[in-house]
Amino acid sequence: MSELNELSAAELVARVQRRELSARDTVLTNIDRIDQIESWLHAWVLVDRDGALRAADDLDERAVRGEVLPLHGLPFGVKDIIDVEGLPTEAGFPPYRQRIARRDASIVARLRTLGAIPLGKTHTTQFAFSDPAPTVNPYDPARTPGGSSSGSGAAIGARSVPLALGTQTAGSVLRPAAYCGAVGFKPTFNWISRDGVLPLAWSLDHLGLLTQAAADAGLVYGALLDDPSATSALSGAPRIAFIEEFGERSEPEVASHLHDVRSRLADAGAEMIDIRLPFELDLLLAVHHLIMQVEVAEVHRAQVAELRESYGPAIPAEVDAGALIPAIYDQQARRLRGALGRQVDALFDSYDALLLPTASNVAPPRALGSTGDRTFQAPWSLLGTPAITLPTGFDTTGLPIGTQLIGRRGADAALLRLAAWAETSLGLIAPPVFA
Amino acid sequence: MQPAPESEPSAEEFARMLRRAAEERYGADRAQALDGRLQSTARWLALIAAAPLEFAADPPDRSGLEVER
Repeated sequence: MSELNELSAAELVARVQRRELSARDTVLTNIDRIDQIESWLHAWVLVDRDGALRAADDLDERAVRGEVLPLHGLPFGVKDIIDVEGLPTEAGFPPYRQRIARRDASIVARLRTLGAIPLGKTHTTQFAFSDPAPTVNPYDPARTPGGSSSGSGAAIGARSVPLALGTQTAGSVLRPAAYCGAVGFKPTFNWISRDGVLPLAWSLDHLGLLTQAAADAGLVYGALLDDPSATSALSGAPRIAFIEEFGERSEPEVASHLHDVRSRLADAGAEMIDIRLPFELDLLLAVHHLIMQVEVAEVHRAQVAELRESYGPAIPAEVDAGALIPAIYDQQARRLRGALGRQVDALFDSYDALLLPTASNVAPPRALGSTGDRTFQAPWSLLGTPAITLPTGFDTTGLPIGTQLIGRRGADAALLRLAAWAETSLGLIAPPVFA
Repeated sequence: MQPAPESEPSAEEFARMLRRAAEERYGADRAQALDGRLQSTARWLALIAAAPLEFAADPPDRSGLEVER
């Protein structure tokens, strides 16, 4: 059964819906895969074997009765800042070890009604900020999987589950996805409810999906929002703008790869146009980072005062620094966000999507103590635009490189259609091979 | 657009202001430990302070909350 773990979510659901495969088989396949690799990957905080098998058996009984659900029998991992009823939400914070969720987060409850099965909780950096999780990169255990959705990225990259939930405040869905060879999709701000999700920064936090393929993200997102257009075929040749600033700030191998992607998309029929942002990228990043610092400080201030010794170093430092920022500049940053966002919105009058590397680099060594570079993902968290990363290639050491596509705010389904087209045009990279 | 006020502090001035505030609030040792982070914050503040905005225009963004589904 081991090859079943490499099925895409779309193929797996289709087989369960046709009753060629049982929901119990899908769960057992994933548990078997986790048992093979978890001792060194450390993607999962806990695997709820009994709960997942009970849910699978219930779904199999419903299938016998002729009931077919949109995501029938699809196991998924849940980042450990998102509540699953009856399981702890630890958030990488030891005092929360016994913090048992009394009900599902809205996203988890919704996925259950669609036939998906929560398989367990995946590791996060502490409170989805920057103190690293124990997870390693499935392509090279000496490398970071990225963060903050570290376990979700590694679990998808290692093919131990077909769908995982993440959250992104700066780059926490797309960066781990890119570093781990996965697809990561962040919808328009607030289009997936954050009810039942621990906050990090209220105006920046997004829920997101990690999958093996863009078509899978379209399937799940379309089911969540009851929008079948997310899986429709792209109509017409897309106009895609390549943002030069990001290429210039990339490591040479990443920049070279993105130029290759640009050429391949043009060969596939896209109209590719090189552009520069209508403002300084550093200003956009400053606005993001300042707003995030203020909001993280506000969210964690009281708890840091009470439990400082239980935290890693990053959040108390952010709280202490954020508490010193004069309010007038925070307000100016929020006005600038509006002004810059309107300029980005205007780009979509001319282009269907923006193209850039997902990260400036491939996954850095874990020994550096960092989960990587957030600067290529943070702008789109700031502006609330939908964003998706596709695993489009490798560097010369065999580490994955991601390509990022950005869509107009509110045009999530259109971005998913374009991403699926790009994925078909570019092809998927091979999963990691383990000894 | 109107020009940014000429009196806005530079990144170095913001860094000194933040360092003084950290020393007063947290003491010299903690201020020293925060120094790298405060230097980054100072650079962001200088960029934001120098960015022009229209008087009485450009209301604060609500980060997509106004984008209806």
